[in-house]
Amino acid sequence: MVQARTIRLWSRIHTWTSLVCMLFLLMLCVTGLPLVFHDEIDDLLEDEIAAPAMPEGTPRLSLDRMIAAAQARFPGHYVLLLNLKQTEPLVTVAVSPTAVPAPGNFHRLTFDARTGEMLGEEASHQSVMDFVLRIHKDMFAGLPGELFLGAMGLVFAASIISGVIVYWPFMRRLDFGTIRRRSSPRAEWLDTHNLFGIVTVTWATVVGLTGMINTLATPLFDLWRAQLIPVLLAPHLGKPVAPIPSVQTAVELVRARFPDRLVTSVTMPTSARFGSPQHLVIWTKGATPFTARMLQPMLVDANDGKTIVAPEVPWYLKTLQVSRPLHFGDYGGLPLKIIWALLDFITIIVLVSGIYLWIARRKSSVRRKRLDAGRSAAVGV
Amino acid sequence: MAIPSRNQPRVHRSAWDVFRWPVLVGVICGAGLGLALVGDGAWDALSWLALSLPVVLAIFCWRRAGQPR
Repeated sequence: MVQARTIRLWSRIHTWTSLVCMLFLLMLCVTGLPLVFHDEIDDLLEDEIAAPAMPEGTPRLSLDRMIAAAQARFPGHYVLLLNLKQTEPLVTVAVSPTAVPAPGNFHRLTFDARTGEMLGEEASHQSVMDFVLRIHKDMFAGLPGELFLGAMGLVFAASIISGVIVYWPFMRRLDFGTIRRRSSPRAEWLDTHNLFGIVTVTWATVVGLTGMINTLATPLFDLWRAQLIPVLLAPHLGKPVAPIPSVQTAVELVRARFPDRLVTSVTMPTSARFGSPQHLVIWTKGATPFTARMLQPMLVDANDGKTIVAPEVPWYLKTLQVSRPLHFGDYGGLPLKIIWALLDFITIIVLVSGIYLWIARRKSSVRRKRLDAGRSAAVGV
Repeated sequence: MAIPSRNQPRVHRSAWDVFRWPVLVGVICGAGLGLALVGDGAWDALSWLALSLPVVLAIFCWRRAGQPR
């Protein structure tokens, strides 16, 4: 019968796609669980530098003061970038002894935005969560590791689709939500696998898909940069890296021209990949909950300190930006994070029950083969 | 229709019967995922409600399986 063959085919597809990606999916789900609470755990374990309380409306100092203070603290170092904290009146300045920063070899100084006082230096060590994130993102294998996990995401998608197709023949004789605990353990695990799997399909698909898109972050950003930079730097060919102009003036200009956007960070002129040698890169985000995800850089010409270039963010980077919150689950407060973690936990049960079912099926088929062989031997075949 | 949790070989459900609940859960979850993106406050709360449906179903059905009929 055609239908039985089709079911067997899809069943086999489901088994094999699941087996291929299973270990990695398990790793992703298990590391993902604490990562949902990345910020909360960091707050608990790491020392946060807090701004002292001051009356509302205390005016903020010029950002140039912070840069000068950072340069005074580390003379001869290169100022890389400035981070404007959104929730507190703090400004972090990153400096490095080399023009192109080496990983881990830079200082991040935190200043009070209103007094210019240096409140402390951000810890340079990796937190526990940073470690877990590395495992989750690329298993410490850099871009190849990221892309490999992205490929596993594709296999996972195939496993989900084939799983939904195979759900039908299995559930033709059962009410939705049934778990046959009185029958064999295999029946109970099968029903649990099917039920837990089918109710989390939407969430698992979205998180898996957005995870895959996230693995393309570096290549996509490089693509945009490769298109943009030649055009931007054409009028400045042959010039050395520009000196730092007045950052405060540039930020005020951007704020005046784009009043609906919030400035989050400023990158100094640099030959490093993350900036431009002839521009200040002022990163902005939107003010509403949805547009807060949409980061847009404004480039201010460092030679005159006032010409603003606002390149259009391409559709593929906008897609990437929307994928981030949908993957992390951090856009709906703590209750959403808790639900995210619970759905992750249910997914782990789906994965583990899948392994159990596969092992149980192999054992029973091995047993059957042995019985058949024994029977044949007894008959003298 | 309270059919106990045993196989009923003669009762073959249609595709719609089998997928009715999963589709409903899927649509509600999809909406839940999007709602919290759009705004804060009430939008977030709606999102929590919608996305807790799979969790509630899983717990409810798991506990129901352990109860004698």
